[in-house]
Amino acid sequence: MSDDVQGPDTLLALPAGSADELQAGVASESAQAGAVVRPDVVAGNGGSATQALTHRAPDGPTPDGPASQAGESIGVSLPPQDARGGSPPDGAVGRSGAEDVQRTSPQHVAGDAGGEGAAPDSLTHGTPLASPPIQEPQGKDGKEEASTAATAAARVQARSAESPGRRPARTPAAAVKGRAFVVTSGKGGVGKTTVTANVGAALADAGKRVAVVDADVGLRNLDVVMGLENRVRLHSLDVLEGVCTLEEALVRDRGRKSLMLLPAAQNRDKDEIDQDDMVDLVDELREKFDLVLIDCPAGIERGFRNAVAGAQEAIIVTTPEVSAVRDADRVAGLLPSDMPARLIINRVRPHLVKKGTMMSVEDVLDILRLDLLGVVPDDRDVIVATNRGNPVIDVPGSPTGQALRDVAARLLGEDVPMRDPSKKTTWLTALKASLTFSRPSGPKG
Amino acid sequence: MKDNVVVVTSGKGGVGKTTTTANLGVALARLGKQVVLVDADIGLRNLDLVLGLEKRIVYDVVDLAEGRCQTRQALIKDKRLPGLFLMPAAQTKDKDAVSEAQMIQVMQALKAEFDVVLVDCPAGIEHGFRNAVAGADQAVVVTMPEVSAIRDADRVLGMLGTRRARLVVNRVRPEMVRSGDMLGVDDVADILGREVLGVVPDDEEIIDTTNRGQPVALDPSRRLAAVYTAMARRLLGEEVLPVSLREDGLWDRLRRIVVGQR
Repeated sequence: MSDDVQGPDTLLALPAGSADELQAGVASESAQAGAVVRPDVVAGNGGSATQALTHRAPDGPTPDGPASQAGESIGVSLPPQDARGGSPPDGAVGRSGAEDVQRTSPQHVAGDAGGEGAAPDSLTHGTPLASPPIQEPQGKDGKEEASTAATAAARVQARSAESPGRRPARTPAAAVKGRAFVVTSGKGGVGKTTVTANVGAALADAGKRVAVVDADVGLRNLDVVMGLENRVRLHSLDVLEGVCTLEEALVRDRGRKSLMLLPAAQNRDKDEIDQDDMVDLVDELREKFDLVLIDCPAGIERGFRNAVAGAQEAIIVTTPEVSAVRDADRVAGLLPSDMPARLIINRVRPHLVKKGTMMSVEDVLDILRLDLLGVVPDDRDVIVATNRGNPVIDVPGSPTGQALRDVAARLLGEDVPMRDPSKKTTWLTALKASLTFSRPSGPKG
Repeated sequence: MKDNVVVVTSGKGGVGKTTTTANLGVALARLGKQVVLVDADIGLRNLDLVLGLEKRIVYDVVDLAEGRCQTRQALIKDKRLPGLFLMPAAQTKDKDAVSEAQMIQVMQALKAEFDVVLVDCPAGIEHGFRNAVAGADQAVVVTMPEVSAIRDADRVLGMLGTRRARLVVNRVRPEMVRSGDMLGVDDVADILGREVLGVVPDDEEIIDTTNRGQPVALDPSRRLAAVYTAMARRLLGEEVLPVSLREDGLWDRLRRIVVGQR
């Protein structure tokens, strides 16, 4: 148990030996490949990795300007072997602890950058309790966070000394609580994680305090999609086991101050969390955040039941494909009967719907009979943005991004007209419609 | 073929396990093999839909494991091809309905009667995954050139232990690889450190054929049928050069232009 405290080093997900191959093989291969999407995650030689570090953070909006630049310039000055990560970032054997600290709290690094490079791995990794993660303690709530972190170390040490087991039961604060949504689908790969990350970001843009929870213990990906994989040090199981407090496990988004991620454990099993634990965690989050989005694992096993347990409402994601719709139907039936569920139809390819080879929005709704929360067109913007760890809602002019922003607005109770991408009115279809007097393709409510 | 129980797995969902299982099975049957496709996704079965056999299910793998029917009764013969059979999953049950020991028993029974047993694994690494992998001799890990899919594939490779595992790199978009927005096949193979069994380009034909329950490999005139046939031959131990594929040939030429060498 205490091994897990050590963070990234113990989160090895690689089969033995492949980490070495990674470092050796990848560095030489991808130098020629030119297809290095996220060199710091998947591959990269020294040059391109450094490039990526300079390239990444400025992609998103960075209101914390000077601080993030400080962190960034330090990132660039890293020697190539430090910047080179493994395929799963956790598997980066050669990564030094120093890099983690740099990525997590640029200000902290700026303060004592002198001793930074010399800090041995064992010190940084072995004693996380002595230096709790201070996640970018700048901005207006900087002071508050700094003090939380300072007392946290004492609290944690006291707790781990008295009870190494599960953390004690909390006395729930009788405050106004936020709403928790579970994003689920049954079938995998329909876009749960992408929807969670993007809707979370859009809700944060709307001025809400948002927490996104990765419930996929063992196969976490929300951190990668949000580009936060290098900042994850603690996870929800650490919180449940009393290794750290909830605040310490939360990772702040790179661009959005009011968006936080609660990561899942990568080297653990879903059986190690039960439904009461999840209810506990989510309830605590709901006291601090306006909205909580829970990214559910695929399937309908234990991980699914855990993810659903803490939520009040469900967002079911499906694609217009027979198998995804069938699984969505099954999931809708497994949700508690008093849980409201709304539907997002993802990856709609308008030209295929027109050709009749893809189910239309109406076809899907006929089968599922759920309230429609959004229709999201398929777009290669998503792949590109996701691979870079940027939300697609930040891609200007992306119809996918707009559809996801609309979803967020609808979650906040706004009445946004539904755009069906398969009925997109280009000038050509508008011309056709005006010539043939067909029914106007108005918004569908 | 020794070690003829092959699990098709991926970790991440939606990368194409079921589509790969169906098409690889069809391709193997077209090569004259006796093939059974086992749907191990109890509760969220889909292999029957992809094969278009959903209306013919009477008994399923849970019934067989619990001894309520004979192997022959649970098997559904695909009338389109001699030698192609489906062992469906139960839809209303839970994955806990079957134990690993029961799955191993089922696999042993099928192994004796068929040339190849392909097991369609559920997404994730929970009980359903352990069940599907339990009786398997070797594995086909399906992945996509995408960070999260590769990460999950890596995790799954670690959980497969000493079994032989080969990769199917699915949904490759050559034009995105060219523009640097997608990882290339070589990069994926390097990261995961395993042999590549096949590369499947992203093709909208798949959506249509899947929705209609007509696996694309059934029609030899389709471009993707050749891809799956080559994959099937490699699975059977034949040496198949990727250049013999039309798509792969083009692929190679493109790579040579972009990268300079293969």
